[in-house]
Amino acid sequence: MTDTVTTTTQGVILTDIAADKVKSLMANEGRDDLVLRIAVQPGGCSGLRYQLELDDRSFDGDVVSEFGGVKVAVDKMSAPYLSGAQIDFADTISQQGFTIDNPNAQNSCACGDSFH
Amino acid sequence: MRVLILSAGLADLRPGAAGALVGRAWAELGHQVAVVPLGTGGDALADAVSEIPGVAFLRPEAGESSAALGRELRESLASRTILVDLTGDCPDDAGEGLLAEMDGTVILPGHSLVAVVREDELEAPLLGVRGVAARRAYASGGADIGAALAGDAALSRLASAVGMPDPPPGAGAGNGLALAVLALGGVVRTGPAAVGDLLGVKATLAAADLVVLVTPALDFGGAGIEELRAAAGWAQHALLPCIALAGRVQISSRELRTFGVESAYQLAADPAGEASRVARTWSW
Repeated sequence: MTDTVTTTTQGVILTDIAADKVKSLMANEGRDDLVLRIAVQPGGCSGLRYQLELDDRSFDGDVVSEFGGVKVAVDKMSAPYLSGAQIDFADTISQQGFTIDNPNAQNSCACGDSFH
Repeated sequence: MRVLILSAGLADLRPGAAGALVGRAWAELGHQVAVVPLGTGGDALADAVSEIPGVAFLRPEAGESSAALGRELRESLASRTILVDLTGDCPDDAGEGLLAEMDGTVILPGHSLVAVVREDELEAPLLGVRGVAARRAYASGGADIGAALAGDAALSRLASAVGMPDPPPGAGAGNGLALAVLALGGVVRTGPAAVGDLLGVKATLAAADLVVLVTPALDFGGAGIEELRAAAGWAQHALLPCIALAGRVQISSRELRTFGVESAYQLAADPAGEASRVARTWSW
């Protein structure tokens, strides 16, 4: 399935805390061959929404970055919407889970899940 | 006084008959009336264009291939204008079957091919995150990125094969069938815009004093809104007041004003009598 995969240090940024969390999740699954895939898909109240998953596939045109031993893959359709986006992991009383700070988002929904 | 009636129908009345009923209210006061039937798509649009000479109205059926539509199109090439209604369910092949059936046949010079699409699809992209394949892949909630990417790549190859490697906005309308219409030299329009072009509404507007929209329903949930937007847009462009008469009105005055419509009146129990009362109010 892999034809062209670009490895880059630009594009999406994964913080150290988020990278540690991803490694922990992969360890829980007993896998070390997965990538963190972030994608944009149509939907949500603001028109576009994020999709985060651990994935063992690669697709033609994927843009792959590596942070602390964790590979982050962005498909070619989603890449223009995610350039410069920072993925962090929050574990506070008010917020838990992965967060995405995306400079391309003109607006986002209060749910934090969708943007445009 | 000259009144332009834009009619999408009323209760059981088809667009032309509803427009004539309302138009009589102004005509009885000695005013000149022109009736233009409107339709956004489906049966209402078919009704609206049914009495316009030289117009073929085609509607695809949902399914895998658009080949049947291609055969109908080939048989309709003698028509001056061919409207292809893409506002309903459309085939999944983005017009590949249609183009294969056409097999290089072109639209005759001086004739026109129009894809009629929903207002919200007027600029629908064919490719990318907001494109046909992504919308289709994620519509079921399955969120299969592999299917979205594979579908998008296939559509990209088709677009390049038909000479449109960078398909314009609107090519993604009608499940991508608009691509085939554009590739054949056609255009993408909403129903009201297509009818307006056919009947020369802009010239009629230039001679009118008042625009009256007649429609089965007007509500905040969307019924009649596309027709309302078209009527109000034309009226504003011509610097004319616009009012609406509908079988059911469930939209506030404030919302009407945001569209540029002065007032909306409900015609329910006695449409002819109620239209006459409105005509006496909107008369000078």
